[in-house]
Amino acid sequence: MRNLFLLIVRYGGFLSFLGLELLCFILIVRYNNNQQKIWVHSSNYFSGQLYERFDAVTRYWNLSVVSDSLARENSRLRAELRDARFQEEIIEGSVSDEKWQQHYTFTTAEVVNNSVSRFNNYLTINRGSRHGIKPRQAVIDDKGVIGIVIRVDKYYSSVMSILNKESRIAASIKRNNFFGSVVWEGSNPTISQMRDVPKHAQIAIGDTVQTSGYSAIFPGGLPVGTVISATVPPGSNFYDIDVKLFNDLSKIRYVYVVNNLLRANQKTVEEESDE
Amino acid sequence: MNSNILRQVLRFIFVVLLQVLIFKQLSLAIGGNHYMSVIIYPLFILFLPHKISHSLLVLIGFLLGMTIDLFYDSPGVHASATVFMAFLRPVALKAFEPRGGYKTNELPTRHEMGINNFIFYTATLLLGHLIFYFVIEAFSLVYFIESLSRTIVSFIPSLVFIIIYQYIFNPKD
Repeated sequence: MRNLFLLIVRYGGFLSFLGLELLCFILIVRYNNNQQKIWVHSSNYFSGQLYERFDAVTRYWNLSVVSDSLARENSRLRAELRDARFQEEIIEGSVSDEKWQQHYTFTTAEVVNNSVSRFNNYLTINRGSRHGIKPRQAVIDDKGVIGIVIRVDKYYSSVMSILNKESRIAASIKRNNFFGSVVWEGSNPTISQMRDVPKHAQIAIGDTVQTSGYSAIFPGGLPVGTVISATVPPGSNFYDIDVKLFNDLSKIRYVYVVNNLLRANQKTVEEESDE
Repeated sequence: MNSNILRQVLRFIFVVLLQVLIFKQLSLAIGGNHYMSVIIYPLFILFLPHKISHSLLVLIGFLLGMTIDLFYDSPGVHASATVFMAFLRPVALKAFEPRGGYKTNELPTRHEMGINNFIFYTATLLLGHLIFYFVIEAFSLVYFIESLSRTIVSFIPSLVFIIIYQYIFNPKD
């Protein structure tokens, strides 16, 4: 006790200096906009770095799952090659590349941070403005939709996952093209809800839900999930549909960021017709 | 003793008013975008009595800085710089001690220290304060050169005004 007292007397100036500087620092970061922005930005930079380091260690554990998913992706892509298809046009002698203008391009990315347990879940991917990523681009993988890019840094992007209460995906029933939107109510990370499907639609358990492509973010026809229950609440004109997601968002690693080359065109014509 | 404390409290208020009513406006008028700020309030710390304890000094520095921050709308920025300066004061006093030590247990003044030592003492602490302040304001060492140029531009008028203050309020010559 006596020693402690002596210590305080001796280094009191230094201790109060340290304490008060710490207090000032907290005040600065909390109440000053500029300094706060710099603080948040640089701490994001460092945490991004940290996550990536951590990731470099842990990724070995699921290499086998990853290679499976890559092999599946490869086989699907091979099936879509020109060589893998029978070209009837050749018989007619008229193959025209003009007919197949490029609509989407894909950028591969790796998930470096992810969450599924909150109400509003976000992912971080290791691609950013340097790699041509822009806000409002879709993120998918071989099993289906994952989310939408919302913030872009130089090297990293933040993706709003479909497991986010703010997220709405334009979707349709594959069998008969009735469309609605897929939202998430924040309880079960494997089940989403589909809204705005009119009650005269015929919906069966087991129907496949896919993206409709109406939003100009997701390409059409990407798998989302299967219907596990569909009811019309009394007094409503719309279905309440539960959709079991194909994709397990807690296990994703390699994803594709979709760039819709014709998005600007679609948006322009839609805005003109809105006026 | 009590009248002494009262005198310091009045001086505190006077210095704060001087800074926010006159020198803040002056800085805005000539410097524009906070590039050049005339900062004189550290003189309160500079001219406190010798015998004040180190931790009290640092605490007074914090109070002074926070008061200034209230008027500059920047919680913590001035305070951190003033705390830093108050922390350094004993070191600077020791460094510029006149031959034969400090005689009185009153305030450090130009009569006691000699005008050269007095100016060096003021300049060192003011420079420390300003560098710390501008680095904290930029909040990043990336802009260190810019912070340094602001420091130098603000340093000269601030020093001149502090010395003028000393001549006006301690006119013993």
